Amino acid sequence: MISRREITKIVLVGVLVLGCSTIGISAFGQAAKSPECQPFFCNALPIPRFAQKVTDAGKIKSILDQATTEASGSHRITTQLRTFLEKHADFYEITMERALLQILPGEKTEIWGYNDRPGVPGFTAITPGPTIATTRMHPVVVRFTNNLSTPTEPVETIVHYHGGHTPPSSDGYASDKFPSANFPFNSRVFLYPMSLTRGATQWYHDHAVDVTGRNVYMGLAGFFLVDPADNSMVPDMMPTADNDEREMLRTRIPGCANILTTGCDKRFDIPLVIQDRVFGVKGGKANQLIYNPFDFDGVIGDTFLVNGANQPFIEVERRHYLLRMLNGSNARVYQLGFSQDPKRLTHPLEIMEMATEGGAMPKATAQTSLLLPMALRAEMIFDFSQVAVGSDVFLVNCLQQTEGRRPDDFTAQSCTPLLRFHVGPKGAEADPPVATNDGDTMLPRRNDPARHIEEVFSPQEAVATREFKFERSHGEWAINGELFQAHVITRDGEDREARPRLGTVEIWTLTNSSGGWVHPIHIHADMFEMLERNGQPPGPEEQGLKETAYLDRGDTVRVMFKFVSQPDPWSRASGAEDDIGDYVFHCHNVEHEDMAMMGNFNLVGP
Amino acid sequence: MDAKKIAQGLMSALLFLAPVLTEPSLAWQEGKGEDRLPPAAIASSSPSAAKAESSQSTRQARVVPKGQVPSAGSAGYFPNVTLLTQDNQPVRFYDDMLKGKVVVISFMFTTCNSLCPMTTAHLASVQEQLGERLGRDVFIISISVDPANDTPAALKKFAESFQAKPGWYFLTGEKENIRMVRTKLGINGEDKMQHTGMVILGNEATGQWRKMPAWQNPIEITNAVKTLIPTKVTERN
Repeated sequence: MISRREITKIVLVGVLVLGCSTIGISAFGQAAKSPECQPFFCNALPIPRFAQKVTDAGKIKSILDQATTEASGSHRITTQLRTFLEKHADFYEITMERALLQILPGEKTEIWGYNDRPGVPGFTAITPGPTIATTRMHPVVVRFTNNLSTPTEPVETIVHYHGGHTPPSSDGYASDKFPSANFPFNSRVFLYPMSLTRGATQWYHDHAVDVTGRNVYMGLAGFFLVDPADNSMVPDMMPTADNDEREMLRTRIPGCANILTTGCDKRFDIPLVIQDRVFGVKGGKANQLIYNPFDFDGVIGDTFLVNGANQPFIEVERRHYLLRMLNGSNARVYQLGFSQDPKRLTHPLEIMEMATEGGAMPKATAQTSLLLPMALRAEMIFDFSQVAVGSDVFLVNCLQQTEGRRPDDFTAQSCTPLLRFHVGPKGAEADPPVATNDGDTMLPRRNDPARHIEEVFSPQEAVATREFKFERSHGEWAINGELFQAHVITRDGEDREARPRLGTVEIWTLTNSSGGWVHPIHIHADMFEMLERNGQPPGPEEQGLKETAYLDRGDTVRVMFKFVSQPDPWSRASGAEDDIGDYVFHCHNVEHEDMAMMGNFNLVGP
Repeated sequence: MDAKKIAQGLMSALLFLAPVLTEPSLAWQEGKGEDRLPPAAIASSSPSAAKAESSQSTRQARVVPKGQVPSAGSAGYFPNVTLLTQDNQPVRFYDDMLKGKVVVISFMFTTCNSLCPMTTAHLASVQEQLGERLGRDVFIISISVDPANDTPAALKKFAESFQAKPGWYFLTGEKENIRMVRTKLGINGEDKMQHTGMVILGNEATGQWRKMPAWQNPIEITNAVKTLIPTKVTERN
């Protein structure tokens, strides 16, 4: 007969066990499975390493010698420019190589990545590639070497710094791919002046004509992060640093409380690139990237990677973070949210969006979800104190998409988790007391001749309005009836070749009349402001400087550019000429791009 | 039965169940022991509604389920249907036209007077530039998108007008077989007047495929083809 006391003991033990189970402590002395690591989302999120600068004088000389023999036009390396670059530029030696990465359990996956330390033991090519980071006005010179080809699989590549204003010969013009009949070498030097880029989240990726989709899918993409100018180029290039932008960062951006002294603390600054892939058996090996070269609508996948990892997690503190989002997919559009429930966005946490492709937006805007088409970036401040210590916050995608043509519905009840943030207690670092609020001014625009990118200009100043229609034609998508031909300038709606003049304002109207396909249109060379979307002013999340405009079915978007010369300090100090020549604009569904949905415009001198 | 034994039994049971009990139970948690999410559901999307789209075919979802991969180089991907050449020879598309070959594939029809004269003329230039390699290392395959009207004889006449040499095949056949081949190559439009001006280049053995507009300078097409022909590895001494 069990006594009441015995029963009580049993019940108490049971209660103790059950009680402990809800807070993850074993009542039996054995180490409990850590509650932070769920059955999935247990892979540590990689943060791509920063690319290491070349400091060896001999190597720098070799890079500049090669640049001198290759250079043409405004890229021409005069003695003055060379002296200037030797003094001020950051140099990088980056090779494109095949590597095996552990993405899924079991077999390693072959990827095509970038390696900033070729030949150094312990450093392989990675995807996303090593992050190139610099400040405005601080030039960057990179020798990219293509070591991807094998006897049975030759690979042509060219690198495009997406978001930069770059001389045409360094912009990654699609048919400048190498090695090729016209350029039978496997390396090429690229010069990035950095004079016309604000602090922004940008990226670099492959752009070889006809094969960009496959090249990017295999891994050829990385971050290119730009900060506002610091004192390193004072006084040679400018009288002062970009102090107002740095002040904005100091008061608004997590981790930047000490930007004016020791710089930003990058621990609270997380770049995140999202990609979707298909993995399968190839060459007898499991877990290989499978690219369908016959899907011309756009290749989408069912396995999601963030910074190249599947089902990753990251430990964060219960404070503000700067999150830099990049959609690196070939054809998938995302609508992202933050949720404690990995499958639903019914209780979205607040996102404070404050920057787009070209840097800080005029005003911060509070969102519950973020539409992110291919190639677009969004920077947001996310406050993890919205949840308790010990909680998980999931980055989720709630936009359904079953084929490359276009996304389906946004379904808050049915989302896919991409990344898990595990929230721990706040550490000792200051979290700026001035939190960014909805409608806060991020960075005012003002007229400053030394900073053309901040110049305020109006539609009334436009000297030309050009119309470009994207239409389905013969199974592809033409721009005003034409497909891409190298160096053939696209004709606008008035049948004029698109030849904007430096120093002038133009308005471009982009219309998607292609039927059932969506197209994010990316324009090289210069940033634009969106004036109208379908006759209405753009929403707060589309304000500021951008270079990619999302065209949903039937959309018409009007954008305004000022095509600018290199600013005087750069020209004076470097002796380099204006960037005149051919640039491309194209759909950033890379399979469409490979189907020649791309046009040319030619910048002419002032 | 005494309390001690009950308690021991209970504790054993609880120890046994501890791994389950020590995990926080959240409603969304699925399948302990799974280290990945269940694969995405595959849905057939309905035909695009009310938009100007020439294709009438129902589209399958392009997200491929794990484990079922359309490996482009494999025999299982391309249909092995029988088509007819301009010489009225029956050929199986995969076994006879693609397997182990480097190919340049274009689409045409004999009464086309928009794209085809120009694209076929460019391929004739490519033929010249390839010289001996045509029929040996590289094959050109022009597929009719109007099989109802393009008989082998009509194709023969068309081929002769461009002086097509051996190694350049013009194919026609049953409408359904042509459609199967065409769609597997990514060409989905049903309207022959809107057929693609792209050429598709590939090395079937290595699984390398690319496409480019046929109106590119023929030199560019030839250069692209040459990148697909495996380079012979010379022996080092």
